[in-house]
Amino acid sequence: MAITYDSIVSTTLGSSQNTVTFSGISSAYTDLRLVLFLRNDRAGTGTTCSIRFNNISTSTYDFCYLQTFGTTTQSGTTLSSTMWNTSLMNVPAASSETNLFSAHYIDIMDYTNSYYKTMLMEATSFNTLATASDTTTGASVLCWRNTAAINRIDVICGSSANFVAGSTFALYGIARA
Amino acid sequence: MAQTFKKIASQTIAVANTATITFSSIPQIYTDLYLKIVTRGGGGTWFYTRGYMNDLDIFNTVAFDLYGAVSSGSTSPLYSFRDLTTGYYYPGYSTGINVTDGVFAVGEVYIPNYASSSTFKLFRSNLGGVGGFSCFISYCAAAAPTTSNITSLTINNANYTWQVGTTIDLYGILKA
Repeated sequence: MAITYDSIVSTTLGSSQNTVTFSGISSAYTDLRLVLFLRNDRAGTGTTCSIRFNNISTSTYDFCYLQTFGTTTQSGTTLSSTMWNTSLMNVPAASSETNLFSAHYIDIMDYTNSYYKTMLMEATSFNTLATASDTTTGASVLCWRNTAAINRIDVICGSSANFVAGSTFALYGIARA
Repeated sequence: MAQTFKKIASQTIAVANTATITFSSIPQIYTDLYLKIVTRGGGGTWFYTRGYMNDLDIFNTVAFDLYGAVSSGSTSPLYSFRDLTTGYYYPGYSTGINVTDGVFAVGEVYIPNYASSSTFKLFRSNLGGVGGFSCFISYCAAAAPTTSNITSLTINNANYTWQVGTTIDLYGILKA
């Protein structure tokens, strides 16, 4: 039988790096799932990473989020951004507790169709265990106002910081069945 | 290599104002079910979807216990809810006809252990979309106090209908 949940590529960093790029993404699938496991080297307890598609940085990224931040529930909207960078994309940094990485699951549905692309993210980030105000978890939705098929994804660490060794970037394809 | 994530069926709305999408005779050979939802409804801007299990439950014979949180994108309004004794679970909000053309809401529903005849059924869903000037995102869970195995699933747009291009795919996650 055909493989319907296919690992396209997976990268675990061996050294620090600001940007990880998936390029030449096959159009053979129906949907993509991007799984990120991240930590960065910025001084402090965290910084936000961002995602761009097809190397396009025009103001075409509209997104909102719904999250808990510590014990507070938050939501918000950003329209006409040049990237997808919600606060849900917080990544533990140099002052965060050792061995803590954030987890981000991004479902990119119908990435080859000719509609605007809408996609979902679920994410969880701890900066310090047992410190209630340092935890973020929730969901974000993005509408990327572009009708082109997605063939490239860039994951960029914010504040000119770098993702550290051990950060993992995995791209899966859900096959046409 | 084994096929562990298999598309069971797919339905795309080809005629505007179709009322419901139903998957019936669902095979009982999988561990879990997964619904991929891409929807645009006939309501004005945003309107909530409803999900039903098994044919009779569209008549509210199962008292779902719903929990969730919904955001319209701004800090307020934002609400969480608990609804008891509803006849449906709640995937979330769909875009409507006044939202920017070509924008659909996307989401997913995960239904573990659906073929069991000895456990109550659980549904975990999130659904969202951004329509230029407005957005919705929701994160919900529901429990159905019935041990009946799930043989059919129906999704509608509450009091409205589905627009052309709305697509719902049903996947089975195979027993390993």
